[in-house]
Amino acid sequence: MSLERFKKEILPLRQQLFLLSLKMLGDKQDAEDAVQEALLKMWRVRDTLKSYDTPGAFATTVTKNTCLDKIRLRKQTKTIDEYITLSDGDNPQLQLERQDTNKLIRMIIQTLPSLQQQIIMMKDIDEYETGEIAEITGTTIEAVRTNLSRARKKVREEYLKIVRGYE
Amino acid sequence: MKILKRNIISLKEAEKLIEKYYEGETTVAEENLLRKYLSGKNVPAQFATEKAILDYFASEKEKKSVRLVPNTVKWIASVAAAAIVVIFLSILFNNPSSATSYAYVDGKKITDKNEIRALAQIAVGNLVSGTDEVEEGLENIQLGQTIESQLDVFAGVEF
Repeated sequence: MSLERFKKEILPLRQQLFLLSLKMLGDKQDAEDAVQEALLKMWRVRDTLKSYDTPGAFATTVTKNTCLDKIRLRKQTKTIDEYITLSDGDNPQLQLERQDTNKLIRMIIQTLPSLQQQIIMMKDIDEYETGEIAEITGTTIEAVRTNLSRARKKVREEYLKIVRGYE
Repeated sequence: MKILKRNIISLKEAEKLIEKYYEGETTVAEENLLRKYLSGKNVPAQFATEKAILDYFASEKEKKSVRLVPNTVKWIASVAAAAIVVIFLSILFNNPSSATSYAYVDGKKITDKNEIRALAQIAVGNLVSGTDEVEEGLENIQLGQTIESQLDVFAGVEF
């Protein structure tokens, strides 16, 4: 599915998806994040969207699941320290893995809010421009840039905290 | 952009790009330029964190491209195999004239069925003309059947 078709068929559902998210999450910012995240998830599977008779129903399901994940995460938010402790335990082999920079950065990214995770992956791995991500999520370049900046600064901050902790 | 044209950046330019990177303001081209700089030799220690982060993204990109290549190759191979089968079957079924009956007479290949039948009749006639005993036996045999069976033995199929 091309970006033009995605914008024509999926993006008009944005307001409806936002209202659904707001109803489930009860917070405007969380609802906005959930909608952007759901749209990015749909963009990732855009080639399979044509196989659904009603893309609207699929979009609703993806948004609902995204909101449910957010509700679940609210109950069990972990800090990066807890995350690493949980991953490593007392296993010496895993403690060695903790020193593996790539694994460490991956773990840090996994602790980011899911919308920030999606945006940083699209920008830094899939090589999308900020403007393209804004088009897909039906939001502004500034909103994407803010999330991206927060994500990148958080990765640096957590990485330095851990590395300095071991020096 | 001046920086991109040169393809090599100075320490000062790297600092500026890193600042832009954390503000979410860099383009993909600028990020690739920064990654190239940080993966080079003698990277200043002050960029160790950025090097670690951008190296991680580079390795993820690499994994992604490695995952994609075999699927592409498999897809091309499947299409090629299917095309070969279709071409083979279309030649086989759409060109029945290529399947011919033939016989060798005195080392010469003959493909005309009527000519083969006539030559076979002559051959059988020569066989039976000398001996009464054989002639008698042959009376009980349907000449046509013999010829047809001979044709079956000598005939083949050519692709």
